[in-house]
Amino acid sequence: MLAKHRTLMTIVLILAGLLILPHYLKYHQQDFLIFLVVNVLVVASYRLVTLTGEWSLIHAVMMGIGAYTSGMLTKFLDFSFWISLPLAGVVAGLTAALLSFPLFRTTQFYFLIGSFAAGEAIRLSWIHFIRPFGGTSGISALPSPELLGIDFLEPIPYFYLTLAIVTACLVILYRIEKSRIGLTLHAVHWQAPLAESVGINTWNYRTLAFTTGSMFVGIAGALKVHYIGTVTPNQYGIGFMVFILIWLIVGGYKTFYGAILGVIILSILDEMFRELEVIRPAVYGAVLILFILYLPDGLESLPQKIASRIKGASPKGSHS
Amino acid sequence: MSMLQVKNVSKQFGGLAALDNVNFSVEKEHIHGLIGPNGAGKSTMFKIISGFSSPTAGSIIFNDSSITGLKSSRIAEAGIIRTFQQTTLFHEMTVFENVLIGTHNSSRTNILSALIGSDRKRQQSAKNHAMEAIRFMGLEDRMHQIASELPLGSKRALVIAVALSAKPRLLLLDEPFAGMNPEETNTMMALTEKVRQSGITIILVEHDMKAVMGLCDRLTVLNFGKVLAQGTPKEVRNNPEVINAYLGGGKST
Repeated sequence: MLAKHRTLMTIVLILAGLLILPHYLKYHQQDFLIFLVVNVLVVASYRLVTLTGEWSLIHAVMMGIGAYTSGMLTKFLDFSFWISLPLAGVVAGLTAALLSFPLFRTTQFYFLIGSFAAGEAIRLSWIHFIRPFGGTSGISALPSPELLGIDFLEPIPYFYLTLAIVTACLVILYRIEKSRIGLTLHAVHWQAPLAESVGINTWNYRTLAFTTGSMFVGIAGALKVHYIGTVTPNQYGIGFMVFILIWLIVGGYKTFYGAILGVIILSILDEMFRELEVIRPAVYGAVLILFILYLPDGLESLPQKIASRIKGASPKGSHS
Repeated sequence: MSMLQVKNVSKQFGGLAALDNVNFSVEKEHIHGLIGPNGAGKSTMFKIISGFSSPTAGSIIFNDSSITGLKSSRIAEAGIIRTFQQTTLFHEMTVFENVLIGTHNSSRTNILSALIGSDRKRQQSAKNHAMEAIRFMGLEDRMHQIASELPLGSKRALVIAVALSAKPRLLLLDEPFAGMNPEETNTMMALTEKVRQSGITIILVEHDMKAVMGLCDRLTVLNFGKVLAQGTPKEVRNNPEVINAYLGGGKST
């Protein structure tokens, strides 16, 4: 109970901090903060996909699907952002559900490659079909959201909007993971045949995780694109996908907060090296290699490691 | 009427017949032994009954309805639960979590009810049911231990507890005695008998002859994918063909 209260207090404090933070930031830092909050949702939703042990390479494209959906609905069909936002999630989720039929005929490496191929096919069709997707330059001049006379064009209101939506999504993702469904997803991951033997339809649960994860990243895509005002195919290529993977690996994938920690720390690091334009990828690469070598369980394992260091070199396999 | 009927089941792997026109039936609340030398087709038979593989020909009838070729999760829903060789468990989870996963059929939920908590009653009854299975197998003291840290005997008991929590009517045990010392074997035999007493029918694949002879009501002996002999343990033990094929022609008591 006490630990629960402490966690709740921490979350409240972080949220409170986030509420006042943008007022002390420069313009480009406010931009950075908005993208960071969106990316937290990207990586947290990707975590849900990976809970069944099936890592996909299509998550970035799913985000793009959300972005294109919302962008096109608001620009061409005059939809309100408040309707196109959930629809962005629905379309990304539906795409994932449909793709599950061919993709989950395989698992593991083959699923990984299959998902990459499917993602590229979608992304290349955005480039190829200039109508309606706008080709390489995408679609620009997307409208910004509006509610009760407030225009969410400026960074600070848009940040609050993003923060509210992302927080709500994170709560839902967390509750899914802690529910019976989360337990079942773990079961599918660790011992699929045993899961099948007690009646768990592993195909259904892989599809469920993939679809739900894609839905949430679709929402993230819509959030991002209405802030930038432009959607292009290259924002959602394999390059961005690699970033998602690195965030998750560096943060750690055993706990819910690991991935979030990963995206926050690495993004801040990246921002600090902004001046060194050319060597930024090299810095990222070096960080990844260092983490794999020295902290293979990710940032999430750091508190435990420090604690055991302080206690005095207790052996690895110590029992409780 | 038998609980399970295996009718003319064959399984071809390319040109190789792993099972060749196998027939046998299992009576309700029996412990039915399925024995034979390595490669006789026992595991293949298990996979076919539990839906992890489908037969090339023939059919499996469970309580008067055909389950031939159904998906394994569907067959589990129908009440046939299998265990695996060695100790197939969710090794990184606690004993309680392992058994809780076993209750899937009675506690499954959807995202919406999980989010708003309308399935709370269901989840609570699943937890109670999991506790029952844990107590039944005598694991209550180890409830919060990680599965991989258990001693072999407890692991095997947990394997069965997971299966029991899925509410089987027919339980398929795949070599539950392998690698056990005599003491562990005795404990396991008592537990297996206890499971049967609770009204669950069991098919047992096992090499440990002491356990097989001591537990089984009937035996089916497979050899090279064919049924070599059937009957009570006593009949089978004295069957000259079985002695020849299975025990290698040596004299046995």
